[in-house]
Amino acid sequence: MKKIVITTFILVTALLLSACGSESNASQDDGNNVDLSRVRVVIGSSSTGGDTYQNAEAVSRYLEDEMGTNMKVDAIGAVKAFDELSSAKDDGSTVMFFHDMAYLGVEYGAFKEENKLENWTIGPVVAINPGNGFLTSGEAPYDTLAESAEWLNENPEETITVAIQAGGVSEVIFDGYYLWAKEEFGTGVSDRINVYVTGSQEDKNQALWDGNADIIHGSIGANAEYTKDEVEDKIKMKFLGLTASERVEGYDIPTMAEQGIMVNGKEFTFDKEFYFLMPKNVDKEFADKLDQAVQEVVGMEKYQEDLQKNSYITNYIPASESTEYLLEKRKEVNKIIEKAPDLDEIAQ
Amino acid sequence: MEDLLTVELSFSEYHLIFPRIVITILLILGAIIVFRYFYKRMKLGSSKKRDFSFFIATYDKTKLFGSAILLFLYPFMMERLGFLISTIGLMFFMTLLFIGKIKKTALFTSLTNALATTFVIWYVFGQLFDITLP
Amino acid sequence: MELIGVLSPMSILLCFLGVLIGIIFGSIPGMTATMAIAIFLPITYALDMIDSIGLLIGLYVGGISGGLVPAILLNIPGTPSSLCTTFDGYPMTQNGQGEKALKVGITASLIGGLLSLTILYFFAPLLASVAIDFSSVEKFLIIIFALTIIASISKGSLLVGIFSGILGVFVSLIGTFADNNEMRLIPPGLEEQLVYGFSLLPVLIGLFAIGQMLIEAEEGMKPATHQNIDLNKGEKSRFKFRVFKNQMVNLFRSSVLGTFIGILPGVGGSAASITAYSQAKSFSKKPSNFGKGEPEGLIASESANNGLTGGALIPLLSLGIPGDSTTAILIGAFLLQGIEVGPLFIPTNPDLWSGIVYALIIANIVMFAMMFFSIRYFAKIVYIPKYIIFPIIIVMCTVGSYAINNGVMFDVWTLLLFGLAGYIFMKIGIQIPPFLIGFILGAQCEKYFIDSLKGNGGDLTVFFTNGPVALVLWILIIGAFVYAILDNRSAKRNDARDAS
Repeated sequence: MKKIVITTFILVTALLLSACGSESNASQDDGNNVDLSRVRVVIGSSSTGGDTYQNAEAVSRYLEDEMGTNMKVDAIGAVKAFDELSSAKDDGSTVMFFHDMAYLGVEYGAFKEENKLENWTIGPVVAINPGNGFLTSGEAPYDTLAESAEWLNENPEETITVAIQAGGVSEVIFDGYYLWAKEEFGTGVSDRINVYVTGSQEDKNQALWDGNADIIHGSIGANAEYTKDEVEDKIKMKFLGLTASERVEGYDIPTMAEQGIMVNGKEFTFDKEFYFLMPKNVDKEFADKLDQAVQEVVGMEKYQEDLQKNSYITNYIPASESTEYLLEKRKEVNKIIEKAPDLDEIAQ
Repeated sequence: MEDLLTVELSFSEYHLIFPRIVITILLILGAIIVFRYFYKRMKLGSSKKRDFSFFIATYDKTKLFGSAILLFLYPFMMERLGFLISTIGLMFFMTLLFIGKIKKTALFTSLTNALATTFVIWYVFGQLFDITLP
Repeated sequence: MELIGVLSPMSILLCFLGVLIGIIFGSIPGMTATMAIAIFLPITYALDMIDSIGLLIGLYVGGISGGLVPAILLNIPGTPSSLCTTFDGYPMTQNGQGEKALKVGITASLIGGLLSLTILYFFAPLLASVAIDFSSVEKFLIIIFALTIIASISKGSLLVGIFSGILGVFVSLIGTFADNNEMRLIPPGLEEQLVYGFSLLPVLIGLFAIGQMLIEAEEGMKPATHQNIDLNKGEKSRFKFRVFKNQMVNLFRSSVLGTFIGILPGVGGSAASITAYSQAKSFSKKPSNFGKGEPEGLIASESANNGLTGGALIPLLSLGIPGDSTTAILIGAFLLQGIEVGPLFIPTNPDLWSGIVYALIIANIVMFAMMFFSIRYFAKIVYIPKYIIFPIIIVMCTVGSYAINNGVMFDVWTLLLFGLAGYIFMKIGIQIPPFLIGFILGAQCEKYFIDSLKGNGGDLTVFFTNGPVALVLWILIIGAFVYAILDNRSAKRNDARDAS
């Protein structure tokens, strides 16, 4: 009781201090209220500037009200987040928020086998970051990914180095590009595509500026600023293509599928999706309420506008369908991974 | 010469290159230090007894080992009893141990120190700033 | 007045609040500016952009500055970047000049902060453009240059000092290498806890605070001699601005060095005060006084770590790349508001840009005022009996270690483990400051070494052929090293003479 009084007191003070006109907290009659004073949302990234944090933070902010609880997003990184989730209580007090890397990492061997999707309860899918793709420097002799492979084909002396992160979304979309180039132009071209393996987006940008990479993985949220006309030539970049299935509103960037990039006889697309993971035996009531609450939130205009600011779009897939959906997606991706080149051979 | 100045790079072994270099340097430096140490002793003559002792001559057994034991008990206690109780306990016994005599004033000081510190930390960090406490 | 037009009264108020909370976080061993900002980040969503900037900049400046209090008074660096402050700050306290040391440190912080702010304001886009010309090769060499301080601060045997430093590098490599997600050097059975290696903060305060406590316990917790002397006794112990009279060059050099290291993305903040300290020593007329309570060293360290604040904001605001771990969290604050930080940030957000600059000015001045006039009370900490202060420090360190990664009990074990290690190190002669510097810089050193090789197919000659900047850095490295050897020899000779 005392704790509640103190917490309330602080909340009130904080609100007064910030002098923002936000009204009182959640409406009490809501059916999705959970019996927890606090839900910890661990995320698979350790950065507070990345798309995982932004999406987790946005959805939690709205879910708090919807579920009548407090949510705290902790950016502790994938390995620790999985650890926390595996030792978490089943009441929903700790949940994880992450994207496709959750299973890609297992498939590529970056995460342990115990962390595979089957060992968790998969919650609802919440949003998409459609802005994933590849960039190159402003003065590169090609404007799309497809053209870059053609350019390699026409200039047998040249090579292309692509900066990616191992075990993540960027590796799978690189694999898509590589396999297509191999199929389309043969090993004569694909053997001249190398990778520069590195970590953060900053490292990838720097690799492009240093000349250590010719093409880098990036996203609209993180890189669009560098592609504007006013940017000086030295740091200017241009998009070569996005991986999403549809174009992103407001940007004139062709998707890889549009450019005719196909893998295994199908157009190559990859939507980076964000979803919740919970402990295997999580309380069913909690899981249902979370699912309901997410559905409510995704329908809110204000939430959609918030995501729009950073070019993310909502994409609700209810918890009842999400497991099957993600397992199917993993199966498709595995077809690519099986044929994918070994990084030992193509990394410098 | 060219081979000597080129490091064989392989993606799955990136993580081993630098540690190998560091370990090599450490071993070389360590070997030189040991060699110099014995060389000096030889020169001085081995008749001189080693005058190195780990503890200082007048070392305070109770306080040293007492505080070390308290320190290592602390995390265990926190996992069993929670932050408040174990911290009050640690603060109380440690202050008492460092004062070194059990008198009324010493007990009083220890208790005040324990309660005040624990409460202030719990309130300011646990409540005000919402930091996860053990 | 333009100031009020850009910054709302609310943002100025929040800036005050931020500085105050920042100072508290900075001065508690185990809590850092980064942590303070991370805690307040979600709150900023409810605020206007300009208000949250006031708060966050306040936290940043306060947090970086607060670290000097425990460094000077208790010999415990409150944040990694105040490590070098302990070298001369604590000896000054031992000489009964604690209050003077604090005032020198704070004044140096203010000047460092304001100088770097000036550089930020006038040269941000230009310098950011220079910064990206520093490739991994140059960054590697800068780290090596910072590491040469290990040689110059080694006491007694140079060889043992270097050994201690490299041992620190070795310990920092334990964990996972990011590029290929492979673990190495982890003792069997600890794979789970050590995936990301040992955390810096628990190692730092464990070696200093816990190690120190064990030594004191062994000696029976007797009051130290400096606890009995009056802090203000004698003409020498009183603070006068005259202390800075011959320090203008040092102040300027250290602030600029701090700013410049801040500008380089990915070269951590601690490297700023480390290089500044070693430069101050190299250029000093009385290098042998360093480490014995020389205000010159204190000035170098503190002006450099506040110089960092302006510097680290340069690549953030003119390129969208954070200059250090704290500014990396600041990016989150901008993105939460939907403001893109990139190369066009300054031209497209002129109001926000001047708001940031004003907030920095205010934060630095508020920091100075708050600390300068409350120092008299801060300084009393040294009079608190050890049997009271040490238990408090231990609990603070524990809470800080636990919280630094959002609640990991292994970090508390790290704290204790390195406390014990610190105690043993002091006994067997391994030098703690070089060890720590090695530990702080080790992982970056590896990253840029491997990055350089990756970009050049493993060719080691790249470190010499990468252009004029690399060559200049080599000259600096060799110069620093030769200087350290000569200095070490003459110090030994002096000691021998004093002994006989």
